[in-house]
Amino acid sequence: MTKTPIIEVVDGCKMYSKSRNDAVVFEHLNLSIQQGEFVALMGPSGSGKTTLLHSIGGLEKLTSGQILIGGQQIDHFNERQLARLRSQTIGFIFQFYNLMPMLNAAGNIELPLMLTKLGQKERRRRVDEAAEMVGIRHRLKHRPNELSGGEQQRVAIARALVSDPPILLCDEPTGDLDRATATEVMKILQLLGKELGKSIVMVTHDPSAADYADQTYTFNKGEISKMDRAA
Amino acid sequence: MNSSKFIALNFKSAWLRNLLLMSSIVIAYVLFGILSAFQQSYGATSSDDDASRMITANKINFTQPLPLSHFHEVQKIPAVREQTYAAWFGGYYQEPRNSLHAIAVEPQSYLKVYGKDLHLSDSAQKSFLDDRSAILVGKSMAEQYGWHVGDQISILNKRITRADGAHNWVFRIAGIFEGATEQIDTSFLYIHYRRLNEARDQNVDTIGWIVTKPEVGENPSAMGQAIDQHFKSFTDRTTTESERSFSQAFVAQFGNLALVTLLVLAAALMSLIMIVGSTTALSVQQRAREVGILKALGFTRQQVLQLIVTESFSLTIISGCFGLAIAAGLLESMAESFASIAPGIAITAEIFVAGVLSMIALASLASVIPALKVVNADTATLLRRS
Repeated sequence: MTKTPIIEVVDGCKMYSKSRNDAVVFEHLNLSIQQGEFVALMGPSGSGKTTLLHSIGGLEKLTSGQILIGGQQIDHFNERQLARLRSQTIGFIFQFYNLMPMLNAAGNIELPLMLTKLGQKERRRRVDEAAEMVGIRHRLKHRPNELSGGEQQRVAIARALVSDPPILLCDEPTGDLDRATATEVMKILQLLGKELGKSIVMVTHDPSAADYADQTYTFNKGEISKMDRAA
Repeated sequence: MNSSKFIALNFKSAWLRNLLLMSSIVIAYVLFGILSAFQQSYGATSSDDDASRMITANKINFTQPLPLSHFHEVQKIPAVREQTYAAWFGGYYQEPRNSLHAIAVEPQSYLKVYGKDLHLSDSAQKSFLDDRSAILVGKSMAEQYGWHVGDQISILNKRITRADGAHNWVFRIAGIFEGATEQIDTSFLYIHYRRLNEARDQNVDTIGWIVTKPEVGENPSAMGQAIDQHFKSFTDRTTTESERSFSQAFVAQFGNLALVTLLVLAAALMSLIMIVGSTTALSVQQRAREVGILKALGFTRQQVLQLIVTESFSLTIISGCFGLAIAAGLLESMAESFASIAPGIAITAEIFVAGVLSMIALASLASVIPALKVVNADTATLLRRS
């Protein structure tokens, strides 16, 4: 029996209207990602990697085509349904961490739990668990400006994990980190895929980061192709 | 973490800007409170009685005297039920800066017309009526100079010379009137007209104005017209108006400076409101990144809007109410100084409600519109901007 992909893009097309000319970002794009699969998206700047990531996360709408998350077509979701999808099914990790500067690490990790009805005790347990998983528990009381880049990204990963979403969408998670720290972050992401069964879609320019993924797709001139791992 | 804690932490993160913003709102509402209280006090009615009381003065100007004989003429007009008269005395106590609002009155008829407003004991009334050197002093004036019943006080009046050439007038305080309501001015004192008239060397047998009340069922304005009609052929013609109009004209003598001050304060208030509005609007727009993150984490537009607007409303309403409380305290402490031009000045329930409504309007304009703009922006665009 064929397993239903957790993420599926069918004949995806994205265009931006620039005065009288339409700029095609990508078209006829098809992509299928299974539960627990770690996929890297590579390609030159402006090739549509981040646009596709945002479309999967419901932050942008495709011009045409379909996106299915867990078998549900999200293209026609309203704002409230998309918000629920993001809070329950998807965790975002950004290049520049996007942490709230006024909250300490614990507060940042807890942020998505504000949307749940969980009690304070359960929230604290989940924050501790997520922080433990990414090795940042000892820095929970610190604010983002007191943390290194690597630590901030760990906090961002813990924030993405805290509500236990099955999908993680990562936009250049190692783009602002040095090599050693980037390796640590990639090992964490790989572990999340392998041990927790998270499906991970990662946009990256870094081939060594892409090496941690199960599959790598490259974007070029509006088309996507699977990279041959053996090559 | 809950919404309140999130808002509090957000407030704390930009504490200096928020503190300055709150200070501006506090100052704006101190000014708003004081201005509104002045405005309300100017238009206040001192008592039910003053609506029916009419004042007759010289047609040229109320500072021009009328002959005392006019008072006796008024008694002949059928529509008039009660009447009394008064004249400006003025003077100062000890130093020229302690100028006094002193009025010379015909005691018997004056107490008949104004007795209810003054709220004076029978013994004080009797003590005043029996002695031509006796005076009645308003409570706020007595408190200002530390006067008590029975005290002898000396008033200097350079404008009115006594027949013996002196300017010094000694009086005994027969009673202190409190005023039946807060709106009644108690920064006055009353002397006997006969004491003034017998002692002065000029303007003898002249008065300042006549106060009349109509017969039951008579229209006060119609009575006023009848009075002016009666004096149409006299050398000193009259003009009769309601006591409220007369008081406002009287206050206007001193009020021009106050008006200028009020206009300056109003301009300052408007400037502050515009500064507060633009600062709040700017700070909301600067939170585009925060909005983008929250939306990416699964917050709905409504939830994000609620967080921003609650913060802005709390900041405006807490600061605004604090400003009104300070205004109330200031007015309370300055009530005596303003008693003559704005009796009973205070932050009333009406002013408070108007203040809170304007705070809601300010917070809405300053935060809801820019917040809606940011919240409705495309999330991906907000994240790219950050």
